[in-house]
Amino acid sequence: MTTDSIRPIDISYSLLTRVDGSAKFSAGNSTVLCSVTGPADVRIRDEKLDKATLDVIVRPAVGVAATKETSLAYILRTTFETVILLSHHPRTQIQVVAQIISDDGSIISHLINATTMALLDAGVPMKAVVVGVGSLVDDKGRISIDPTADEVEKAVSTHNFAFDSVSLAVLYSESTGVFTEEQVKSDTHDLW
Amino acid sequence: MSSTTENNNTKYTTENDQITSKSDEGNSNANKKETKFIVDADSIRRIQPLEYFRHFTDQKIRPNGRVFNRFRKTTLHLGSVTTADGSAVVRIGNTSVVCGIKAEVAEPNVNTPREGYLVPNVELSPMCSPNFKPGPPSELAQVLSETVNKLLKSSSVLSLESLCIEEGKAVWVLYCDVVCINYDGNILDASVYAVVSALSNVRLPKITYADGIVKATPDKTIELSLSRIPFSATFAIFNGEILADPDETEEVILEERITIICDEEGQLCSVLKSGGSSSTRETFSTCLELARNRYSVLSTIFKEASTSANTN
Amino acid sequence: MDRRRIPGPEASVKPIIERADDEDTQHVAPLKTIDDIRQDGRSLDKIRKAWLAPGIITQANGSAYIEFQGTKVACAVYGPRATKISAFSGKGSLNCEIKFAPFSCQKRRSPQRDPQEKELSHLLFEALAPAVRLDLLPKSTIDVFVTILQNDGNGSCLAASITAASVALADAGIEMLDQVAACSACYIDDEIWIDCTLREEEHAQGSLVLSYMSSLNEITHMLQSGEISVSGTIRTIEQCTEACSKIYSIMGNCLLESVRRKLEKDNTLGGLNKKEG
Repeated sequence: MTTDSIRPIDISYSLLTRVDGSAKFSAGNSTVLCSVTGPADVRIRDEKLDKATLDVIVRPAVGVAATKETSLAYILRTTFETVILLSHHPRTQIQVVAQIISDDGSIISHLINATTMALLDAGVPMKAVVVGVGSLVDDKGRISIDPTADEVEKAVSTHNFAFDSVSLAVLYSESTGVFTEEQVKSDTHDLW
Repeated sequence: MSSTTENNNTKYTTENDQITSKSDEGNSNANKKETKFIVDADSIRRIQPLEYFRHFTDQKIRPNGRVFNRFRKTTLHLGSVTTADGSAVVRIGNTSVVCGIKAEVAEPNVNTPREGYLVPNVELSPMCSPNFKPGPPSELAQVLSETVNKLLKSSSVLSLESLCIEEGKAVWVLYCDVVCINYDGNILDASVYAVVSALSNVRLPKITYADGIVKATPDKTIELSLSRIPFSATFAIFNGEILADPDETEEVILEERITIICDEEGQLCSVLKSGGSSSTRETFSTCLELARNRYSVLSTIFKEASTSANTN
Repeated sequence: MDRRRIPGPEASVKPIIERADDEDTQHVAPLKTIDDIRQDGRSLDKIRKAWLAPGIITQANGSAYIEFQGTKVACAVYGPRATKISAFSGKGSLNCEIKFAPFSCQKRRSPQRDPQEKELSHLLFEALAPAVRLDLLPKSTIDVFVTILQNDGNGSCLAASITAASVALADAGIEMLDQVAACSACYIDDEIWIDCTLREEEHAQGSLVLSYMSSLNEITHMLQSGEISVSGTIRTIEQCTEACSKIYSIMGNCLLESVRRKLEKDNTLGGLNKKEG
């Protein structure tokens, strides 16, 4: 996998018949299946008077959802809450369930892409399309995009981003490891 | 509070329990007979929180009186909890947390026979805020624990191999429990500061392993050697303006946040941004500079606290 | 496995502390000297130095922090707030919860509630309920949350929790019949030791925790366990009552001081407000 290209993508949608929208997103060996139901009824305690409530659930490929999946769900929720036009459907709930089928590196970016496609399939009104991408900096200082799990293991730092398709603003960014400001800037071509 | 709203075009006043509003267009004496709609500042704060907030930020100040780039007063005390093997009490403004580290011995994981365990955990009990209910950890507590865990692992704050007692048989487990006493926003900065400081305060006994039994000396003198000392700085973004160290009332209405964690060499250990789209490329650079300044402030406080803890 | 927390190893133990061979049990410091002076310099009937501060938790309606040297306890009171119980009740309800911080004891405590904490929570409720005017708060609930940050004596933890909770209730402005001060005592070799540390408790044959309202001269709650003779129990109650009166005066002074500070702050602001008209 070269520095500037992502793995081959495969997207399919409207796979699930009992939900309002669904999409399956795979890049290389990572696959995520996401479903969206809503606007639908909401529990009184979660009801918001002026907006829809966005509820995100992330399920891992193996085992039971733990703190890691809660963290991923939090990221998805806070990212999409800014993009979905929640005030169009007050006192309802939009539920997103993302099932990780296989995790081969930078799963958050694939989750974001799958969620975007599923929301589009469900016809949920959004300000823009959210695109996620992961990258890393290796021990020789080289930047590569869309890493696999093995590459992430050996990386000095990993960087995941989500961009707004209209304004190219950074909606979500998570960089961990040990890195410098210059690496982040060149990684995002100065968008961040 | 009501005096500050007078600078804007619409004057909000209450007279004789009647709600009226006057547009300041020079007609202050006219139209007294008509009943008008006035809402006081406190009601505006509840009905239109972002509008209320904007009235202050337009004047380059926040409702709590702080300027944008000001962090709240921070204090650190090490070693106050004597039942813990290392402890730190952090106060950032009214937010206060206590981190206590307990060291125990366990068998290492089969896949990593030379590595010990570092187990952080952030507890947000109903004691610290009316927003937390009793029961299992809330989403916020889980996200905080996960963030601290990722930070400790990915920036190698402490080498797990340094916690090895006997390969494949016994390793140290450091349980880093952060208990929040008072929740007034920016719990992430407080937790990171507390965990890293408490780790520096840990004193372990000399340990020997023989025939499946681990024995320790009664004196605790061995310090941990931390490879890195990261501290964090969190900012909220509102209409492109950077507000340092949001307190609880600001956190509720300002969704967009950036957290920058850097180490003693100025290298970045973590950049977390979530919640909104009003930040620009300048935002990152400005936040980074503010974060680095904050680091030197926190570092000074940390060094003073370490010295006074060591002399006691 | 708790999936909502970062998992550690399945089991872990504290290492065995090995004393050097030339130290044997005879050289371990005795609990008290011939003149009945304890290890920390107190006589048998003295409580430890107390440090008490109300109002430390700004998010709560009322709060208090108390230190009896090694025992450190923080308490927050929320209420009166609307009750979640659907059945109508002419009296308010008092909900108490005590939690040990994981690092507060010799061995790490699990963050999940265990039976000892449930029992202590119930004892706290029993000690406070007679003193709080719940009949003035129908359909409401008062939540009292106590976190024990450092444990130096199980009896003193309970006593400190009761004392802190009482101060926090006053700080919250909840009407009470009187402040409840609590004190613990141990019975070691037919002698009464007031306010014992963890090390002293290990040698005790019996223990007592007393909650007492000083102005009304009434005991709200008494917990006695172990072996104490009847006359011994009566003497212990008398000594605890005296100790509770001392704690009561400390509580009173602290609350007055805190109110004085609040009034001063309000007066300064009040002066400014008057100027602006």
